[in-house]
Amino acid sequence: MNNNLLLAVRNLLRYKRRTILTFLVLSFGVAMYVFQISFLKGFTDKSLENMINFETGHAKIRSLTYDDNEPYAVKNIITNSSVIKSVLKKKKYVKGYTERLMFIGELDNSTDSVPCIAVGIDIKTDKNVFSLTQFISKGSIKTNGAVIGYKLAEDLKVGVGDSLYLTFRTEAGMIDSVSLEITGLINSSDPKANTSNIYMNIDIARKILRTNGVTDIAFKVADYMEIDSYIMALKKSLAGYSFWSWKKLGDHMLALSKSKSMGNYFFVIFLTIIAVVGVINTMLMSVFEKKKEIGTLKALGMRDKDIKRIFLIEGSLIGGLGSLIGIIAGSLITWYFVENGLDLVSMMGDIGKNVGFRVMGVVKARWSPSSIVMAFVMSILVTTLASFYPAKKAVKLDASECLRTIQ
Amino acid sequence: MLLNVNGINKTYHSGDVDFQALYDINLDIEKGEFTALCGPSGSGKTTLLNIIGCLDSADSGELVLDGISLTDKTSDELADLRRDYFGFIFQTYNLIPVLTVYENVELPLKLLKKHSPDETSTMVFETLKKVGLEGLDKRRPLELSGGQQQRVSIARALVKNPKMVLADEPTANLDTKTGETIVDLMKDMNEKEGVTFVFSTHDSLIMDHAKKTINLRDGKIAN
Repeated sequence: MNNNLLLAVRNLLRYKRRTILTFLVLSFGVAMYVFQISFLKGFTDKSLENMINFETGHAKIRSLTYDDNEPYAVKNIITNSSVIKSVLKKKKYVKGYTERLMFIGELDNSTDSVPCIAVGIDIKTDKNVFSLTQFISKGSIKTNGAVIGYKLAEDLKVGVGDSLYLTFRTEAGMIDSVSLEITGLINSSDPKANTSNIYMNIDIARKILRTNGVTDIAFKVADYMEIDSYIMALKKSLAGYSFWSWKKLGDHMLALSKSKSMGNYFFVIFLTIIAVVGVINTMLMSVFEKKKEIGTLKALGMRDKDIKRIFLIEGSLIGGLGSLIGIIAGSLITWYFVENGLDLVSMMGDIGKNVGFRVMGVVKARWSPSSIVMAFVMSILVTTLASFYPAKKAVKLDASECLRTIQ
Repeated sequence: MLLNVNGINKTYHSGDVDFQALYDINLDIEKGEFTALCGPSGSGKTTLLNIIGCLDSADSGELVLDGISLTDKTSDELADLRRDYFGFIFQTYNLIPVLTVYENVELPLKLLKKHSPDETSTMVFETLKKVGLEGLDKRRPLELSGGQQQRVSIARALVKNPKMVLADEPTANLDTKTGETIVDLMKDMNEKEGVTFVFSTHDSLIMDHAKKTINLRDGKIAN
């Protein structure tokens, strides 16, 4: 074994308790980082999945005049959706499409009323893009009536077979109201579908709104990460419409994830500072305790750069092994939550909705290999850098003075 | 001539207090000498040995080692000179506690990087045999007696066949009998192997073994 490595390893083993304590500080930080990143990834990915699977698909085609500030305005209705559908049908990369008619309304159970988003869906094609119909737990969506989320049903104290009044504005702007029988309840991982939406056959929606149009045509593509390039291609054939990719529609969610990540990074920076101080302290004590040995190594003819290297290797070993232990511990915790998830409902009710993520029920952590690799590399880098000062101090020591030290 | 010391002066500074440890030291060391630097504590023996061994620098004067002037050498050049020319034996042995006896003796050879692993191993075991430490190669320094540790220190100094061995009070931490054994061992190496020894001592019994004695008093050569 190389002299420097041998001495560094043996030095670490010499003061086991101190080495273990330094390892533990670093390991705890890395374990927490791995776990938090995985959980945040779980929340973000699940939120995006819910958005894609219940509301947006991979992209939506809307009217060119569509205004995000007035998402349910009459001017957003597209009357000639068949043109769009025929274009989508011809594109091989489009794996499915469906149309929806969305409008706002108010649901009334004769005692209470709540605002809601009414969604008219094409029963035949909706499953080509959305997962909604898989989550109708009680009853089914029929040509007549409507399905609502189980939480909304609980709030309004209604069940399958009961009726609700839906009040809304027609395309002409007139206020109207209809009675709809609840034919099914949705119990999904999407809080929006569970708590604030009412779904009905698109024909019913058209009939009550007195329109022939739709508000959205959603579609799925072969590779959702490449959605922007598919949209670029589609725009050539459908210049008179606006396109809304899942990235654009989910930007608030990605921004939220980013801001949560920032919070995470502050936590990591805090732990890093503790680890750096720990490593510097450990290494400085090590230099002080090994003054005589440093003098002896200099007397034997070891060059300054090699003495420096011994301490840098010690630092990087602390970083490498500490982070390895942290990664193992963090991965074990993460593994549990990847397999079993965290049941938000049983723990804290609708927390998923409250914390801004579009999640409900059991949320599973997701592996983030890049973060694990980054934690490992950063730990080694940070501890090696933290060792520079003690190493420099060791090199600067005067050989004869070191040899005079009584230890 | 192996070493030529010309007009060496050395002053230590501690705050506002200056202490001159060496005054105009002039001496020559020939190859194969067995020289004792004698004098009481504080007479400048260790300072002189450190300057000779390139561990400390003189304020003025010149050192010429094997025809090479040591003036204005860089830190790395001085390290290389220590590695190539000197073997050191210390009063407190100064063995590396995390290394075994074998590894301690092997270290100077590994720093030299001149020998193959097989050669290194042979040289280490031969040297351990010479100093009477056969079978103790796997022990750690703290598992040995003081005398045994000093033997390891001697083996470490001799293993690379240095041009000069500098020993600072090599027997001061040992009882009289063990101390005499160590001096006998050094003398034996000097006579059989021709290794040049310069050692400091204030023990009159040890001084008697020296072929040449240099007396230091208050930083000056007294004889």
